[in-house]
Order: sequence, then structure tokens, then C-alpha cells
Amino acid sequence: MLRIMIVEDDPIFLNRFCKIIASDPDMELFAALRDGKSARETLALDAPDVLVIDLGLPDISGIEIIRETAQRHPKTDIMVVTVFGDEAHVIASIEAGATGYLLKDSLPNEFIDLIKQLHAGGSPVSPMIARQLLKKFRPADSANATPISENRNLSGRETEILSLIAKGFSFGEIAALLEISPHTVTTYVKKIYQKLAVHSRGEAVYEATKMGLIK
Amino acid sequence: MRIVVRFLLYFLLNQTGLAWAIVSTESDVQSLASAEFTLDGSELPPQNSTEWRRLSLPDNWNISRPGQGGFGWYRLAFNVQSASLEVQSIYIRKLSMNASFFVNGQFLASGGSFEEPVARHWNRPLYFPIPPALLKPGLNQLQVRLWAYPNNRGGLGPVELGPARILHPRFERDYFVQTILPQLCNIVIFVQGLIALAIWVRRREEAYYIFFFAFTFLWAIRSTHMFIRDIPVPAFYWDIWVQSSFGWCVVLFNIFALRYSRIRWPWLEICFLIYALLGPFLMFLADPIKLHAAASNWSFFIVPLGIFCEAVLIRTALRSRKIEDALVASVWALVVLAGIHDGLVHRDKLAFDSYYWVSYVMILLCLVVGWQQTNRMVNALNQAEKLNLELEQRVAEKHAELKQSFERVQQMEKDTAVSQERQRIMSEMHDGMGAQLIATLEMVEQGDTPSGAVAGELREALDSLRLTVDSLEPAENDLLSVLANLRYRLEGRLTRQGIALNWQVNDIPKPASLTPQSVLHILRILQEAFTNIVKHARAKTVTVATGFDEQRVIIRISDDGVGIATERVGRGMLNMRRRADALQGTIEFSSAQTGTILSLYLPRSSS
Repeated sequence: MLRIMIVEDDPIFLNRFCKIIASDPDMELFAALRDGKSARETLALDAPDVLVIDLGLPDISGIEIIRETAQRHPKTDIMVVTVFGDEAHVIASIEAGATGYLLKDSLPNEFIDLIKQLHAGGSPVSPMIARQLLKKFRPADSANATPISENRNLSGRETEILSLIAKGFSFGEIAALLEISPHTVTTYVKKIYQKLAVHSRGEAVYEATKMGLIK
Repeated sequence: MRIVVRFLLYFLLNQTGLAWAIVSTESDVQSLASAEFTLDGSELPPQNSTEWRRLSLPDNWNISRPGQGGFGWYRLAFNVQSASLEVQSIYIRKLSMNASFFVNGQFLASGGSFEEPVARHWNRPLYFPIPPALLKPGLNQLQVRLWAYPNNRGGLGPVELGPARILHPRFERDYFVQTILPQLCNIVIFVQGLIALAIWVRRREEAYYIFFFAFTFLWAIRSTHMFIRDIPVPAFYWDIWVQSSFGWCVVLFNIFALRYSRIRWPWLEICFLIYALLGPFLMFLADPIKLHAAASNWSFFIVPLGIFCEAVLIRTALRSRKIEDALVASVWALVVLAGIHDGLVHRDKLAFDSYYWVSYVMILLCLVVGWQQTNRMVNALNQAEKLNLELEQRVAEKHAELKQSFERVQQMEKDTAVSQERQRIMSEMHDGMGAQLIATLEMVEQGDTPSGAVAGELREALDSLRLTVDSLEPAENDLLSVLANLRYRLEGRLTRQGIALNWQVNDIPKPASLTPQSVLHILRILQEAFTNIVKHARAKTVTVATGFDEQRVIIRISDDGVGIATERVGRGMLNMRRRADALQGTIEFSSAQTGTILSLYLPRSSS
């Protein structure tokens, strides 16, 4: 049984999410909360398998909760709920430690599939996010000059997959093209997300050391 | 410094005749001023039979025998004490033009050639030691054979006789002052002139440098007459050259002074030059005997020339208030005085053996003019540096101003861009989502619409909103990522309708610049096409393909549906064409029983 925790301040959506989870035999509701403070308290006691969280909480930033959870419970998969799936929100969440995101108007079955896929080690990605990721991993000093395959922290295969996604190919089409399973493609994406989180944490540590905050 | 003072002292003493007084107290030296003279061309001392006339030295032929030239003999008696073991010598500071010497009828020495051109000794002291064998105790006789040019200050000055140890240093000293020193001055003056020439070559606009160079060059050549003994041309021509070139130098310095003072009187300069050329012309025409009279008449006008120049220089100094200009004026005054002095000497108004002064003052003139030029240049350099500083400062100020106004413009552009963007989004909201939501509201209020249809309309509105949001992200001229995003946004709706998407997107050249505005136009066109397919085509598969030709990028959306009647898409079609026009592109639409094809052509980027 997958234990799902939901943090969402809008009672209608919270209610909807709860119903969807209750409808699936493989999932059970771990907690359903409406603010950051109680979410933080709950997470201090125990870890869910999957945390589904809205960024726009009334008290604490969702990003903050994501960061804390990723630190405290590395095994918990974190999924962000967004209205637009726009890159500003999604990239910030991934950098904080989230590995999945879903659109608020997703159909119940899409919602269930995404959570299961995430728990199985696969992450969703949109072409815009893929493009943004390619940019993020590109060495800063030669933003446009370096061929994508020479990205510092991405393997050749990871870069290839991101490029294809950015051109609009679906996971299925990419899988067929590269002769791997669609699930493998999603696991590549998840690994890339994790790399970005480590990458940005490393940068934060580096910046902090430079500023004398960490000895 | 001490040497200079000593030299100046010697010079002054010699001039005033005091030196003679001091030296003649040395009893060993006899100054022989009493002589006998006879006009005789013979090469050996004439015998007693000739008629000798008693006279006292100096004997200036211009005065004692005007118009007379040629050879004359002098004889002077002197005593030699038998006890003297010292080498005796004779020293003649002044004679003209050449002479040979005999002691007791025996040949002693000669000043050089007596053939034309005769060796020139008019400014060269002569000194000879006397071999003891020629002398006898008691009364001895010195015979001098002298060559004089007529009317050219020929003659013999006092002869001094005494021990070599006293007379030789005296000779050396006078030789230095009269012969070596003018040579040194000449070199300095010449070098000064070369510097002026070098400046003029690089700065042609300051013409006075070339006049100064011409002046120094001419003067340096002319001044050789002070010390040259053997001349290359007959004395007649040499004299014409020496006399005229003095006038030329004064004329050149006059023009230099005028030009330096920024006075441009071309007619005056021409008058000066005519005067300068007139001199040698008159002298050539003159009877050789009267050459010096002609030269004197002409060179008399050099005095007013010099005084005029002095006036110009004083005016310049008064105006500029510069010490160097005042110095030049003062030294030129000295030159004029020296010139007048030399003119008086030349006209026999002063002592026969007087020095000529001008050559010694001229070096001073050249030095102060050199200083004047140096100051001018240093001042100019300083001023240029100051100007540069000011200029830099002004450039910095302008730069700051420009930066400020550039920032203002930038801010204004930014404000404009923000307001344009706001307008764009407003119009999208109004025409797109607003209209859609109102239509949906209508459906809900009528109450008989199935909830699935309402949800479909709402999802479409949400997709529109997402595409609007997506269009805010910079596309970086990447059309493929725009298409990819469209697919991501719309594929869900197609899938739910059971329509498969065939993605045939290949790398394409960049279209002309993709602004958020144009991205949204493209998205709306394609969205409209998809909506039409979903609503009307009843298709199983939709194919999205990209391609390009020489000028255009092509996006093609085709389906395998039943075709869409043009009138059903009329309003949408109109919108699509309007947007394509805004993109400077075109749309081709064809519909048949076997499906519909929509092609969007966009201009390629020129780069």
C-alpha cells in the first residue's frame, strides 16, 4: 500500500484528491492537511511514501516544506501540484527536492498513474522543463557554444533524452527510438531531477562557504 | 666658469688697451711702434739707398695712403742684450693682409702665399721665434714685407719683441679669441639652425623656423671669413660675398622676427629681399678699387634695418610679456650696437687693431632665440597636456550624461514593453478566454447542456490560459520547442477524444525573430486547427510535420477525417489569416473527403 500525504489549502481540491486516493485499492491516505505548519509537524513524526503538495500554502512556502522533507526523508517521493506547470514553479520545486509534478486539472486516472509512476522511479517532464534543464546543466561560461552532449553533469544518454523531449517527442516515441522501455525513459528523467537537486544544493553550499556561513 | 670670466676679462682688457699697459711693464718685452717705410715690390729687403720714411705704428694704409695697394717694406730697430740667453720672438697681433719677416736681412718667416688670392691675415695674429744665430748683441733690425689691398684696411700694427715664454702665451690667447672662438661659435650656431630646420620640416605652418635656419646657415658660412686663411676664389669675389651676406643675414633675421611676431607684411619682406639682392649687384658693377666704398654705401642701410627689427622685437616682448622675448630684443640691441661698432671700425673711425664684435654677439643671439623656441615648445606641450586633461574630463562628463540618458531611454523602453505586453495579454484574455468563458456560462445557464460539454469548454479555456502563460517564456527563436509545448498542452485533449497524434517534427531553420507576440500567434493558429479537428473532423489520426524551403519554414497539420466545410470554420479561419499576416506568413487550407490539410508558412530568419 502506498501511503499518500496531501498538503493543499483549497478544501474543494483537497476533497477531490482525497476521493481519488480512496478510490484506488493500492493507495491509502497518510494525511490530508491544509497548511504548512501542521504538515511540518506531521512530517516530523513519520514519513509518507509520496508527498503531494501545493506551493501556495497560507503560512509556509511549499518549497520550504519540500526542502525539509527531501532532507529528512530521502525515500519519500515529492510531487508538486501546479495550475500551469510553468517552469518557474516546477524548476524551483525540483531544485528543492521534488521529483514529480502534476497539473491541478488532471483527470483522476492521470493522477493515479503519475503517483504510481513516480513511486516506481519515473518522473514526468514537459518539453519546456526539459529545455530549461538542458540550459541549467550547460556550463555557465559558454552558454551557447558548448554542444549539448558535452554537458558537465549529464550523461550522453540523459542529454539525448532531454533533447528529444524538448522537441516534443513523447516517452513512448523516445523509447521506441532508443530501443528502451518507456518506463526507463521516465527513470532517466527522475535521475536528472535528482542531479539538479544535488547540483543546486552543492551550489548553495559553495555559496554559503564563500560567504562564511559554513565552516 | 673661472675660465670664462678670465677669457671675458682678457677680451675686455684687450679691447680697452689696458692689456698693453699691463704687459708693457714687463721690461723684457719691447713694443716696437716706431718704423720706417718704403713702397717697394722687391722680394728681399731693399738697401739703404732707397728712400725710407719714418712713421709710427699702427700704420693704416686707408689713412696713410688711400687707394694704394701692393707691397711695402717696413724696418724696425731693436736692441738685444748680450746677456740674454732666452729665445727671442716677435708677435704681431694685427696686420693686413699678409707679410714676410726678415731679421738683419736674413729671412725669418712668411705668412703664406702672396699670389692672388693672397693668404688672409687680417684677423690672425702672427708669432715667430727668432733663431739666436740671426741676432747680434746690440742694435738689430726687423724687416717686414707687407701686402695690402687698396682701400681695404691694409697695414701693420705694433710689433712686439721679447722672450717666447711671454709672447707665445699671448699669441695663443689672441689666436683663441680671434680664430678658434669664432669657429666654436659657428658650430653652435649651425647646430641651432639645424634644429630649427628639423622643426620646420615637421611643422611647415610655422614658417619663421625656416627663416631662422636660413639666417644661421648663412651666418655660419659667412663667419668663416673670421678665420679662413686661404680662400678658394679671388679676393674681389670673396669680399663681395662677405659684405653682401652680412646684409642678407640681417634681412633674414628681420623676416624671422616679423613672422615670429605674427606680422605679415609681404610687401615689406619683398622690399627687404630686393635690398638684399641689390647689394652684390652694385658691388659687381663697381670698380674693384672702389668696391669697399660701394659696399659701405649699401651696408649703411643695414643700420635702419636692424633698428626696425629691434622695434618689432620690443613690440613682441611688450605684448607677450615673456622674458625670453625680452631677452631676444635685448640681445638684438647688442647686435645692432656691435654692428654699428664694426661699421665704425671698418670705416677707420676706431683703432686699427680693434676687434670686430658682431660675431661674438651673434652666438648670444642664437642661444636666446634657441631658448625662446624651446620655451615656446614646452609651453605648447604643457598647454596640450592641460587641454587633454580638460578634454578627458569633458568626455567623462559627456559619458556620464549619455549613460544617464541611455538609462532613461532603457527604462522608457522597458516601461513601453511592459505596457505592450500587458495590452497583448489583456487582448488575449478578452478575445480568447473571456469570450470562451462567457459562452460556457451561457451553456450552463440554459441548463440543458450536458456537464461533459461544459467541462470540455472549460478545459479548452484552461488550455488557452496555459498557452498564454507559456508564451511569456522566452522562446529563443526555437520554433521546435514552441511546437513541442503545444503538443504537451493539447495532446491530452486529443487522447481523450481517441485521436492519435503522429509527430513528424524535424529540425528546421530558425524562423524570423520569435517574440512572445509571434509565438502566441503561432500557438493560436495551431490551437484553432486542433480545435477544428476535434470538433468537426471526426479524425483518427492527426499528423504534425515540419519542413522548409529557400525562404520559408513550413508547419503542416493534416488529419484523416471527413473534411471540414470551409463555412464552418469561417470565423476561425479569418482569425488564423489575420494572425498569419501579423507573422508575415501565409496559410493554405484544403479540405476533402479524405481529410484536411492546413499549412502555415513563416519567413525564415535572414541570418
